[in-house]
Order: sequence, then structure tokens, then C-alpha cells
Amino acid sequence: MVDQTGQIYTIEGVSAAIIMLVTVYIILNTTTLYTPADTHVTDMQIQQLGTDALAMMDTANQINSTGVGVYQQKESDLETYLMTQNRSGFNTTFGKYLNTQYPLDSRQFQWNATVYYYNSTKGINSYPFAQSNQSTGREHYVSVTRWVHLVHPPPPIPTPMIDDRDQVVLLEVLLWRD
Amino acid sequence: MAGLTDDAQWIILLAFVISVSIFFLALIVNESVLVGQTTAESVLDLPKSDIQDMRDEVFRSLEINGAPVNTSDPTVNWANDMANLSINRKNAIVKIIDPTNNNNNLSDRWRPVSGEQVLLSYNNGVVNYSETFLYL
Repeated sequence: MVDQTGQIYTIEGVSAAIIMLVTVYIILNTTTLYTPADTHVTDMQIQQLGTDALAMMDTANQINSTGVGVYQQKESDLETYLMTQNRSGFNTTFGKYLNTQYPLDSRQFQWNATVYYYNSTKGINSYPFAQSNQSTGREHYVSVTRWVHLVHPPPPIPTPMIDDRDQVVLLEVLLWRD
Repeated sequence: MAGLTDDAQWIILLAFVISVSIFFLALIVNESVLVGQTTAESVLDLPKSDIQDMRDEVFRSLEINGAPVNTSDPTVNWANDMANLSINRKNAIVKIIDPTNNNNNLSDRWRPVSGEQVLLSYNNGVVNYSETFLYL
């Protein structure tokens, strides 16, 4: 005849075994999922930050009542930098918006900005605009873009020539954490 | 089992209950990682910023509305620039259309007349966005 003692030990043993097995299963699953999830979240944050910084730069600070026409009256910092090829001005303002931590010299983010334009005879072309640091090509960067309206090409026209006209160019910024 | 008594059954039962609750907490932690990943992916996939930026630029360009320097060829204008650059650099088809004028692309007619409708459409293969607004 089977003895009835030790039933609670049996139940405890079985449940402990199940809990341990399931815990191991969960731990293994969690570690395999963690890395891609982590990069996606930070990618999203950097992309949003970069887009917001460019949007802020492409918004006029105030109405310039002495400006000629709508363009000059509502000209944004970003448009001014591109029209005058002011690379250091772009770097200073963009860096100020991105790197909010103190001291300002210790840059948290690095970037490399390129301007893409459409030439009516030669097609799509580009020229490097501004960069905070030389990219090694191995950084995990995200790309943020902004359309910019130019009423005339920048003064030192890069080759191949930009059309001499009112046009829209695409500013593409590669952004990465240092 | 020698010396087995009925004492301490509450302790064992409580231990059992606590184990099960820890197990469910672990499940929740595990799910949260997955939720964070899919949310971030959805945000990255949806071109919200691209569409906002495109609208912004179209309104700005329509407002500026400077006379095209190259009047001999009206197809060379900012709307055409945006369409070409989008397809090359952003993998998106952007069209700025004037539906009241035989659905002409703005590329062919560089500026709409006041009171006309302008149709804005964006398609990157995943998200299709279109909008009609009145050009004031």
C-alpha cells in the first residue's frame, strides 16, 4: 500500500522544478532580445533630437521688418548659414541645441552635414557642408534631414555648379554619439 | 518520510504563492523589453518628421513664391527639386499637384493661382499620406 506521507514535499518539488525551468527560459529570451531593443530606442531618441534641432534652426527667430520680400522677412538661421556658407555658425548653433550638458566643450554628439541639390542638367549632386569631427565610418549613426529653401546659390559655388536660381536643397546630417 | 508533521503548511503555501508572483513579475519585465523595441521601431518606421518637414517646406516655398530665374524652362523649380531629391535621397515619392488644372504636376506649372487647390502626396512604400489645401 502506498503511504500518504510526503505529499506536500512532492508538490513543492514539482512546482520548484517548473519555476526554475521557466525562469531559465525567460532569462535566455530576455538576453537575446535586449541588444536590438536597446539600439532601436536610442536611435529613435537621437533621430528625434536631431530633427527637432534642425526644425528649431529652420524657424525664424523674429520677423525682420526691414527685409526685402517674404524670404528675408522670415529668414531662419539655417537658411542664412546655407546661403552664406557659414560653416562655423552652423556648427556652433547646432552644437548648442544638441549638447545641453555642461561644460559645453565636452561634446556628446558629433555630426557630418551634407547638402544635396538638384541640377537641371547634371541631376542630383552634393557637397560637404559642415562637420564637427571626422567620421571613421564605423560609428553607429542616424541620418536626419531638412529641406531648405535658397533664393540664390551659395556664393562660392561648388563644382559641379548649382543652378543659379530659386531652389530647394536637402540638408542631410549624420549624427552619432561620441 | 519519517517525522513528517502537518506543521508549517502555511509557510509552504505562502512560499508557493510568492514564487508564483515573482514568476509573473519576471514575465512583465520580459514583455516590457519587447514593448520598448516595437514602439521604437514603429516610431522609426513612421516618417512623421519627414512629412512634417515636407509640409513645412511646401508652405514656405509657396509663401516665398519667388519668380523662377530660369523662365525659359518652367519645369525647373522648387517642386521639381523636392520630387527628385525625395526619390533619390529619401526613398519617397513626393508629388505636389494642382488638381483644378487638369492634375498638372506643379513641376510643369511652377505656381498655383490664388484660390486653387493644391494636392500634396507622399508615399514611401509603407506610409501613404495625401492632403489637399487651398492656396490663398
